[in-house]
Amino acid sequence: MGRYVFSRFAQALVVIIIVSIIVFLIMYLVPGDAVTVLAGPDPTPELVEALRVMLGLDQPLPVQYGKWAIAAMQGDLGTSPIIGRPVSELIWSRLPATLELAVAAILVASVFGILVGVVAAQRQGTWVDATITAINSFVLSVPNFWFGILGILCFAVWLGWLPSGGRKLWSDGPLLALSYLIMPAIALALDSIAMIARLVRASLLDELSRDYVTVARAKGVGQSRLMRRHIARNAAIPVLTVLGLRFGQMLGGAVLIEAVFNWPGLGRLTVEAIKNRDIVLVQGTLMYFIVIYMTVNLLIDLSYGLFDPRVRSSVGGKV
Amino acid sequence: MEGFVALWMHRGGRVGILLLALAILVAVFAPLLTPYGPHEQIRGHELMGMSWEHPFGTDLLGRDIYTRTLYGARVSLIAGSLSVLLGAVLGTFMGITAGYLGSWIDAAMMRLADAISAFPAILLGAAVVAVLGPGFMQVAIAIAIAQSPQFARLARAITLVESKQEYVEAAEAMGASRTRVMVKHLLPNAMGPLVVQCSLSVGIAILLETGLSFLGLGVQPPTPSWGQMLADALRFIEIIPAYAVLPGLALTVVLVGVNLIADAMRDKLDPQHVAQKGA
Amino acid sequence: MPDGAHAAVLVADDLSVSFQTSSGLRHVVDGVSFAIAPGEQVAIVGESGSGKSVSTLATLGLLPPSARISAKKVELNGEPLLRAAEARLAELRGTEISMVFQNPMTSLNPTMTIGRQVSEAVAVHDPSVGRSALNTLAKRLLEEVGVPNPELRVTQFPHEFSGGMRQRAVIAMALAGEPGIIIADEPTTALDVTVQAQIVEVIRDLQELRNVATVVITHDLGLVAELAERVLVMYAGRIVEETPVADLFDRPAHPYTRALLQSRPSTRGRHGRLATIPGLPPASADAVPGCPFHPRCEYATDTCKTESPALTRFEPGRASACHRYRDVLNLEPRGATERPICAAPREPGDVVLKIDGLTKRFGAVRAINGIDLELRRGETLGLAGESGCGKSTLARLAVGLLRPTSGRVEVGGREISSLKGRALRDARSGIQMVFQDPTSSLDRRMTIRKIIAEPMEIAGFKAPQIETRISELIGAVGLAGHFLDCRPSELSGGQRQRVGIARALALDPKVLLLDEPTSALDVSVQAQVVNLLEDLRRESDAGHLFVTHDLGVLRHVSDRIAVMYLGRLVEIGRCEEVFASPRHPYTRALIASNPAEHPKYKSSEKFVATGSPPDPANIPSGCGFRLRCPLADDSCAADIPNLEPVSDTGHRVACHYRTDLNRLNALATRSCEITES
Repeated sequence: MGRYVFSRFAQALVVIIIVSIIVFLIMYLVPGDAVTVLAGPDPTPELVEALRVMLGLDQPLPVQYGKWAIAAMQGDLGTSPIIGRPVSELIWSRLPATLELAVAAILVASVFGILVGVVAAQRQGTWVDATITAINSFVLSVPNFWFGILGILCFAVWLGWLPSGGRKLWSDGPLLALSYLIMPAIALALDSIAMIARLVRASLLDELSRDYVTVARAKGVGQSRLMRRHIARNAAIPVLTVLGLRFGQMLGGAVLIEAVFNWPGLGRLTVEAIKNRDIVLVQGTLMYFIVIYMTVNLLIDLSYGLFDPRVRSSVGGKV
Repeated sequence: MEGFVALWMHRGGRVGILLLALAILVAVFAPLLTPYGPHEQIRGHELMGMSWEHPFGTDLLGRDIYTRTLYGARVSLIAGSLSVLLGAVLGTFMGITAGYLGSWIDAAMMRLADAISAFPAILLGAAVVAVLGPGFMQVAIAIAIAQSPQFARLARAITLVESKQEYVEAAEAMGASRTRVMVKHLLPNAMGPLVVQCSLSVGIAILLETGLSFLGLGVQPPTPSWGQMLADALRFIEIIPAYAVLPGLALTVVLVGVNLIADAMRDKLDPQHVAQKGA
Repeated sequence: MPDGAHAAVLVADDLSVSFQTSSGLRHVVDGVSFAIAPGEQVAIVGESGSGKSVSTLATLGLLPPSARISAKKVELNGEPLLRAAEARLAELRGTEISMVFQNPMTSLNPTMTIGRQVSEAVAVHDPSVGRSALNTLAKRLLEEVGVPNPELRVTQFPHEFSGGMRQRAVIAMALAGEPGIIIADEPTTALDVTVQAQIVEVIRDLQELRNVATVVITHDLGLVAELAERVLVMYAGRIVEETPVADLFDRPAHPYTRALLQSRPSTRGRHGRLATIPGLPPASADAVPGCPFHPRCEYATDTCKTESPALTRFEPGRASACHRYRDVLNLEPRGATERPICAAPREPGDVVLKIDGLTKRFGAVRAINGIDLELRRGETLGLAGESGCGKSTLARLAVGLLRPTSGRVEVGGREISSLKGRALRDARSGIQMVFQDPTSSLDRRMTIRKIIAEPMEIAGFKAPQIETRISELIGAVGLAGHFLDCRPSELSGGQRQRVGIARALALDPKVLLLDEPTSALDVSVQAQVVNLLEDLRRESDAGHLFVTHDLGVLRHVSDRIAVMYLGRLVEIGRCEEVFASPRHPYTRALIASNPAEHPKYKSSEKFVATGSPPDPANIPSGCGFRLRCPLADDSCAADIPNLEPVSDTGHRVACHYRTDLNRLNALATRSCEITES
């Protein structure tokens, strides 16, 4: 187990380093760097040089990256030149909203996805299965954000049941907060429900076709015990992996859903930053998104051990 | 041709082909299907609801929404297919080399793929657009980069399986060079699943394109695109509620079509998958 | 109905099974009847696709839903099964009847402890049994099937068990509910030879000690000889012969049985050219009118083409589904009609392959640990060993697919292990390889023509030259020219292997490496390939290095044999000499482990090596075999024995006891304690 944990950590670390290099380089790939912005029109070469020294741009790229990375690790992602406030402060003010949305959505998606998938697998080959499969395919073909817009149209504009956008804190009253959260969360979860249901169904059926299942049946294990004792655990492993990946998708999807529902999250912050060419802020938000995503997936990888004894004892030979 | 017939014989595949064909015809023959031009602004017709002249209303600038939806198909279809093609070529190259050559090349390529896919796709697209600036080609490149890890992983996985097959060893034993093994043996054997992945990716690419333009980071006005129109619709949702319906529906038709074809292809090429579905 | 049906445990009468496939209904079992008496030891033997597994799975209701089953009667202890509710079947399975499956690597649930899986059959049928009682039961059963240290083992997971130990656990599992009948479907096929012998002993013990009927389903006539009193032979979904086991081997009453017996190479000596069965079994049981075997039968008459023979009882306990069974019964016994094998051994030629001090490591795994070997022109050297002994690695080192860690490989006097690029490519034309799996060794996207052309294209032959050579080659391996434009999927396994051979011959190599070329094939097809290889060797003067775990094939084809264990040669010498007087305990174990060829050789006294080969990443000091060897002492742990000559004919053995014939011979009469922990 120890070696497994270590190798996962090492891999994640390498990926984060590569990501940070990419993110760092964005600054240098964007046409028109900070100097041209600060120096104004028709700058003298002396002024440009002075600014470059001031911003540290005269140093070799690796040195600049090193400084940036060390500062970032200490939580200092610089200051947004447009808004004039520290990037981490801006991010922390928006992060809870995005996490709330993503966590709500992943909960909705896993509960309904697993439920629907299990039903479809148990009724394999019947009209129930066929209907679920068809609905799943349809849902996967409809963009989340259009669902969101239709939701607003239906429940906010016509029926007036739910607010069309914005966010309320839980301290303002749980019901109120929930009324703001429910539409964006469901809109964000929809395609994941379909995706997870599909996968749960496939992995249950896949396990059912394995030799050990025939063996279990041959010793008289009935259908329900077969599902609970033999299959559930084995089928959980691929489902778990996909939950982690879906969480990442949701962070991305949240960018659009936040725009639709005017949800004050990290996604909107990023989009505004890109539109304002506020590259420092873009770098900061990207790094946050990725670190969250990597952490979730790392935790999922580590939790395989709960389900799979082969991972638990990855060291040690057989006799 | 053989493949097309097989898809046509598949129930879902046939519907998918029909839907996609409809979308392509609309994109090509848009000028014949509407009296207005895509950029034509009709004074006094701004923000109109449904009417005989404008069955789906007009936007803030007095442009016909129906017309712009028809023309919007062009951007989505071309951006979707172009970006997938680019992403597939890039990813396949990465994946086959990584899987076959192994060692540090493999590790480097796969960590790079991990890094790319650690970005939420839409934000990666946005970041690329931030670097390259908005525009059609930029968006296609952004989406291609976002999609390449998928292809790289698939191509690598197939390569790893195939290179354990004895025919690869046989080729090596008769002295085939690495390039020959990759081009003559591995690539053709990986082609089937890669084509299926392409068809799956087209839908995702179209979604990404629409998402980027919805955020205002995609194809720039006045070129009509569905994402932009949906963003516009959201702004005026209280005034012309129907605005959101047509572009979204068009998008859904294309995506359903593409995904039906993709599913049909997978059924035809991956018999194990069919067995699982109990079909 | 077979006799004794009234007292039978399991009865099937006129059982038929077909599967709905995309290309229509495929009949797999066609009117099979059998009755298994209490405590009886039955074997059902047949080649792949004969319907032997399907017919038993059908009785238990374990076939997938796409199967269509019909029968006059299927009964377990007098209770009809065919239309029984799934819940009732579940109650019967595990308590009245249980199964042992072929592949122990996949037949255990990876996420459940061995103890729970073993006792589960009791747990599901009797919820009142408590956890500690279940645990005790699991331990007792594991002990009974020879799993050492059951206290610890019940808490472990399948991945902590070796293949042989897993199969023991699967057998323990089948015993848990004390069923009256156990069906074992190819119980040893997925295992190594020495481990197979251990499982045979386990099954034989339970046949003796428990009053349980056993049905062993197998393609292996050796297993039949070891484990059965009565045999049912199946072909194309029908039972074609039913007989007591001794008569099966001495007086077969069906041409198919007879042909099967004759196509089997023997470890007991060369009988000349192997008999082959032309053609292939029909794809569906109803595909051939009349007798399903007639297109492949040398005794077929016009009647056989139109009238399907019924299974006819002609002696007590014996029945045959052949119109001419009387003629078949009266045929000369095996051996008398066979032609002698090739003339006197040829003069040894020049050395074409020379391996010198070869080692290969993969990280901590020491796959090859110092091998010296010479192969001469026109000679076949058989290389024997179990999985993991390094024999395939050795072959791959020899063709240059792998680079040695140290040592040299010379082909035709040219050192190839240090060559690179173009030079390596040129040198490689002198040594070519035929692979184990004829399905995976041919690129499924290429036509046969392209496959055979590829080595010549790489070597830079001109197009017309390639064309001529292709037609020569395809003829040489006995395939018709029209196959050239087919893809591998349109060919049978045997035909594909011929293509693999043609490809290997394309550059006229000095050395042909054959890596288990027959082990993926059915017995009758295997004989065709063995014969082809012998013909080819006689016609060209290439040296053949024939790698296989099958001692029968090895003895049949080899001039000399070499035995490998843990990456070292432990014995090498002239084939007849090694088989007549093996001097290494491992060689003895290997030979003794081979299933008996006739029930009269079946013996409970033979030498069965315990345990399984150690992990090549963790090789014991001294002699690699010492942990499994009853002769081992301190000197075996201290140093690695070298290959030392025991005769002046080149017979060399790496064992301190190579000359101590008394102790070596004592091995055969002594079963050893299990030392594995």
